[in-house]
This record gives sequence, C-alpha cells and structure tokens, in this order.
Amino acid sequence: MTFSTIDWLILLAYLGFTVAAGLCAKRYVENLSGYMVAGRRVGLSLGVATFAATELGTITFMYFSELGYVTGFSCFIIGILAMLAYMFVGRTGFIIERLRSLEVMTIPEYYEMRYSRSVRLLGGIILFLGGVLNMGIFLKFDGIFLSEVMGFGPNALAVIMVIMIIVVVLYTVLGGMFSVVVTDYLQFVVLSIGVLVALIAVLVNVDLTSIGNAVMGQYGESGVNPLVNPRFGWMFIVWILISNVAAGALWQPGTSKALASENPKVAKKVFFYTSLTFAGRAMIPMFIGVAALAYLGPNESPTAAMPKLLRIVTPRGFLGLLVAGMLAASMSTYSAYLLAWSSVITRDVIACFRAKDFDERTTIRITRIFAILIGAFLLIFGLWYQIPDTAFQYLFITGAMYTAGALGCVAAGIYWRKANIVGAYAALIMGAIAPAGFLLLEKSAESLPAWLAFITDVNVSGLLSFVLAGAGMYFGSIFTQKAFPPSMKLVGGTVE
Amino acid sequence: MNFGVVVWLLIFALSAAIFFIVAAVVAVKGLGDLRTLLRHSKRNDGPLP
Repeated sequence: MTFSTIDWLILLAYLGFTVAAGLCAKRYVENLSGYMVAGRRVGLSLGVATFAATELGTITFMYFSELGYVTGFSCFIIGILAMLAYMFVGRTGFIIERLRSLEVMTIPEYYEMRYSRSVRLLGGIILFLGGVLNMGIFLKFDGIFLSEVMGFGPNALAVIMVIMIIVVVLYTVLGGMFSVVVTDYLQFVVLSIGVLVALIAVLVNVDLTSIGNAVMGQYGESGVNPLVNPRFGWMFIVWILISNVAAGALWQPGTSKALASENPKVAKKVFFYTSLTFAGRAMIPMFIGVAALAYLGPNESPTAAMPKLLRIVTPRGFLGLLVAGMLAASMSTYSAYLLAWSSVITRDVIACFRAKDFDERTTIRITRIFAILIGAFLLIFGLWYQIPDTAFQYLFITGAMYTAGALGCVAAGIYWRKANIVGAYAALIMGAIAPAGFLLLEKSAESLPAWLAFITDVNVSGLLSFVLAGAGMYFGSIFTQKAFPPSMKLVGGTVE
Repeated sequence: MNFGVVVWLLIFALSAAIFFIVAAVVAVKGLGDLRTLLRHSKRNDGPLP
C-alpha cells in the first residue's frame, strides 16, 4: 500500500487538532508549578494516559521491533522485566512517594535538599548529558519509520521530521506540562488505536505457525530462551531489571508524571496501573518485528523491517491512522522529554551557578530557550551519529550514565542514614564511568588491550555502572562519616 | 509448534489484551480527569509568565 489522499487527510487533521489543543493549554499556565508539573493536579486515569504515552514513542516501536527481528521471542523477557520493575515501584512507592511528598520538580532538587547544591549541579549535568544523548537517536529512528511506512525518500521525510520537531517544540515551549498532559491524553487515545490497527493488520496477514517456524528456523533455541541467546543471558536480565527500577523511579520524563500527580498515593497508583501496560508496550512491537522476520525473510535491515511490513499489510485509510498514531506517540514522548531536559538544565545546572534561584518568569524563559536548543540538537545528532549495537542497548546504556548514580544517591539518601556528600559524589561519578567508557571506546574495540575489552560489552558496562555506583555510595560514605557527617534533615523523607 | 513458541505467544496475547483493556479504561476515565484538571486550573488570559 502507498500513502493515499485519505491517509494524508487523516494525518493532517490529526496534526492540526493536536497543535490547536496544545496551544490552547497554554492558557492554564499560571506559575512555575503550573508550567513544570501542571500544578500537581493530575488525576489517576489522566496520569496513566500521560505516563504511558510518554513511555511509548515511535522510537519504542522501532527498537523493540528491531530486537524482535534479531532475537525472536527471547526478547519478550524485557517486557516482563519492565512490568515487574514498574509494578514494584508502584506497589511500594519506592523513591517516588518520597519525592512527591517533598514536592520537588526535578530529581536533582533532591540532591540539594539531602546533600548540597554542588551535588545537585553535578547530578544535573550528568542527568542532562545522559538524557539528551539518550534522546539524540529518536529523530533518526522516527525518520526511518516514516520513510518506510509512507514510501517517501529519506530527504522528504527529513523535512517532515523538521516540521514535527518544530510543532512539538512550539507547544511544549508555550504550554509546558499543561500542554504535555493535554496532548499526551489525545495522543494516548490515537496511538492506542494506531497500535491496534497495526496489530490486527499483521495478524490477518501473517499466520502464527509461520512466525513460530521462522523463529525456530532462524534462531533455534536462542529464539525462545533468553538465557541461551548470545545477546542476553543472566547479566543482561539482572541489568535490565535493576535499570527498569531505577528508570521507573528516577527517569525525569516519567517520574515527572508522578511529581505532577494530585498526591503521593495517586503517584503510586499511576505507576502501578501504567506498569500493567508495560509488557504489552514491549511485546506488541517485538511481535511485529518477529512477524516481519517470517513475512519478509531474514535479509532485511532489522531497523526497517517492521515499518516495511506495516506498509505492505495495512489497508488504505488505516495507514493514515497508523502514521497519525505513531506521530502521536512520538510527539508525546518528545514533548515530555524536551520539557524534562530543559527543566533540568535550567533549574539544576544554570541556576546552581548562582547563589539564589532565578525568579519564576526567568526560569520559564530559560527553560523555553533550552527546549528550542535541544530540538535543534536532535536534528543534528540524529543525522550524524551511528549507534553501536542495537538501539535498545544504546538507550539503556546512555540512561545508565545517569540512573546508576541517581539510584545510589536518591535511594541511599532516602533509606540509609549514613549516606553523605562524599558517597553522593562517588556514586554519581562512578555510575557514569562504565557507560561513558562504553560509548567512547566501543568504536575502537579492536585496538583496546585485552584487560579493557570487557568495557565494550554493553551488558557488562550496564550492570557495572550500578555496581560501581552502589560501591561508590557505600564506601564513600562509610569511610568519611567523621569528616563529612551525613545531613539528617531529610532522612525518612520529612524535614526534621 | 515448539513449546517455547506457544508459551511466548500465550504471554504475548495476555500482555496485549491487558494493554488494550487499560488503554480503553484510561481513555474513558482520563477524559473526566482532564476536564477536572482544566476546570480547577486558573485560566491565564493575560501575558504568559
């Protein structure tokens, strides 16, 4: 199928409606809290919709389907691990309940409350770098998706992506979290319909027996057993489970949805109910990737196989709905991420160089400028950078640069009385070393000495980041208790 | 079909069903939340902060 007039009409109508809704929401921004966390008035169902929409972009579809194509069913374990991790955070309120009680707007704010302003600065820098690098490949993968599904050349689609990022930047910059929440809701509805359309089209055209046979024929036992698949194994499973707990509790775009909730109890419920969607969020695109293996054969580009299959099997008219759904998914993710990272650079980095915080008007103005700059960065980085390994592993390793140290700092800060400023510095720095080492050295793996070769294994680097961050917090704090006695003012989450 | 394939297909079917059920419930109830959020938020018709 090719993109027909009716597909274009559906797509343009949807884009126009979303932009109008996002721009209307700017009327409700009354102050900084309104801009950053929607005045902390987001209810349960809306919270679940906006959280799920943030966590499901076209990039999510692309990296999960890529994994399905290259590993068969064994990657489905990732969906189960994500569901369990977010369920744990939702049931126990691990970290998020305390952060919501303290009414912080960004995670590094907690560093200043518990440790010092300089820890907040370091944490803010690492979070910003890890977050923006993580987001850097989104646009490229969205471009690949659109070029395959709509049947255009990459040049035309680069123009479409430029238009899309301009639209998202526009309503995020003007409306802040109100626009994000309002458009996320609309986008969640549209993307759910788009995902349903895609899944039905695939199930109608590719039978389950041929999918099973393709996986067994191509990958054998490693296609159904993640423990024997060379890309996965125990180390990968442990890393992804810990990483999902850390990301659930501490990844600014997602956690900000908990911080925007009506109260800590609602924040926990938002996480719990959203966790129920996480297995499906991963397995639906993975399944379509596996179906692409069965339908197109093993010689396609793993990244382009899923959109190519969807273009072939999706009926006219529904293709427009599908692309609208995927654009909805992307825009909701972009807007939440843009707001999150521009908030962090403004409040946790630039403001930390001053003795006093900026006033609200200046904070919002600087946040808007950085949202625009990050949008420009996405265009440049996405076109230039070649990712190592699979997109999934790139996203988790760049995420680990921040989440490993943050988990050490915040979890220890909340639940361990002996956590001190030295431990916080050590956790943040040591947590970032292994992922940074991987990103810097992976491209020259062959020239590395044998003793350093382990750093180019993405699973080893990922797990090592959490081990080093934990060790940094523990030993850094234990050995310096007398010289740097821990602050007791936030132990237990309450100001004493 | 291989036993492992059947198990994963069943898990997939269950996960997809839960995803769409939660999506449907949230889509309906979220609209109410959205109305409440906007009703209780002060409109700012003047210049933006």
